[in-house]
Amino acid sequence: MRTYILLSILLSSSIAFSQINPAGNVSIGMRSTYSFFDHDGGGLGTGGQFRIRLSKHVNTDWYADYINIIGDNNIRSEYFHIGWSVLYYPIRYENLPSKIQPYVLAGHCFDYNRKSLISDPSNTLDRWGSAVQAGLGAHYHLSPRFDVSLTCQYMWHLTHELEANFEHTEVHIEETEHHSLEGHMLATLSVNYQLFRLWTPRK
Amino acid sequence: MDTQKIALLLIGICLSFSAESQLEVNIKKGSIRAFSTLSPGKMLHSSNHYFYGHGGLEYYFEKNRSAAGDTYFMLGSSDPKTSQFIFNHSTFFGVNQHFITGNSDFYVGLHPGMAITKLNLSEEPHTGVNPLVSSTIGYNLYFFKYMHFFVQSRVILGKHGMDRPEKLGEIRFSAGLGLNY
Repeated sequence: MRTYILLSILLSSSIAFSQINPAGNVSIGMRSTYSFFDHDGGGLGTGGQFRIRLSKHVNTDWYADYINIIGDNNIRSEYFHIGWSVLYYPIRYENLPSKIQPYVLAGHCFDYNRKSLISDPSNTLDRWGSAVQAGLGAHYHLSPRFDVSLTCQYMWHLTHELEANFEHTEVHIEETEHHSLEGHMLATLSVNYQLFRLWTPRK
Repeated sequence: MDTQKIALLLIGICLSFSAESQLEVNIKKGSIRAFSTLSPGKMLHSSNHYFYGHGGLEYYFEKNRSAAGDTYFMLGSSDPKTSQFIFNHSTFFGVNQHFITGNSDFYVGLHPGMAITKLNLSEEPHTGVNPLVSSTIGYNLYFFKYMHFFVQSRVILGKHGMDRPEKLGEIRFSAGLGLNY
C-alpha cells in the first residue's frame, strides 16, 4: 500500500513536470517574521525578498529583514539579516485542487546584531556575523502568479553572541568568548507576486 | 466606541448606495486608486485615541488582487496629557485580495510595515524604529468613473523599544473619497 502511494505521488508529479517548466520565474514579495526562542524573548520583524526559480524542483529566495526583540529584562536586541535560501520542492503539484506546495529550505545570511539597554540606549554593543538557516515551509497559490508562503526555520549564528550581564544596578553588554551555535526560530509569513521570466528553459 | 459606530454607519451607507448604483465601473488589471483622509485610531492596550493623516496608493496587478502602500502621519491625540507618544508615524506595504461584485469592492489584506516612534516622557526620549504587521479589511464603492468612496479598518501589532517598552497594538479607521483610474 505504501509503495503504491509513493509510486502514485512520483507518477503524478512527473506528469505535472512535463507540462510547465517554471525555471526563470522571478517574483517579489514582502514578509513579516516572528522570532522565537531567542535569549531575550520574542520579537517581530519586517522585510522583503525576491525569488529566482532555477528549475522545476529548486527555487532561491533572496531576502533582507529587520527584527526587533524587546525583552522583559530591559534589553532590546535588533537583528538585520541579509541572505539567501534554496527551496527544494519534493513534490510538485501543477493542477492540484489544494494549491499547496510544500518545500524544505536551507541557506546562509549575514547577520548584524545590536543589543541595547531599553532604559539607556547609549549602553549598547553591536557585532557583525554570519548565520545558516534551515527549515520547512509551504506556498499557498492564490493564482498562478501570486502566493502566500509560511516558513518555519531555525537560524544558527556562527559568531560570538552578545550577552547582557546584570551586576546589581549596572548592566554590561559584552561579546561572549565562545561560539555557542545558538540562534533563534523564525516563522515567516510572506506574500509574493511573480513579476517576469528571466529566461526560458530549453525543452 | 464612537468611531466603531461611525464606521458601521459608513459601511451601511455604502451598502445601500451599492444596491442602488446603476453605473458600472470596470475595475480591471492595471487599475490604480489613491486617496488621502483623516483616520482615528484606538490603542488596543490602553484607552488612548490618536488621529492620523492617512494616504494610500493601490495598484491592481490582477483584477482581484492588488499591491497597496499606506502611510499614516500622527497629527495628535484625544488627550495630549496622557498621550503615550510625541509621534507615531507608520508606513505599510502589502497585498489585498478583492471580492468584486459590480461596483462593490470588498477586500482583505496583509501589510507588513514600520513605525517611527518617540515616547512622551519628561526626559529627552529617543526615537525608535519598529517593525509592524497589520491586517486590513475594507470596502470601496465605485460610484463615478474616476472616483470612489471607501472605508477601511486596520489592526496593527508591534512594540516600541526605546526608553521604555510600549505596545503599538492599535485599530485604525479610515473613510473618504478616493480617485481611481
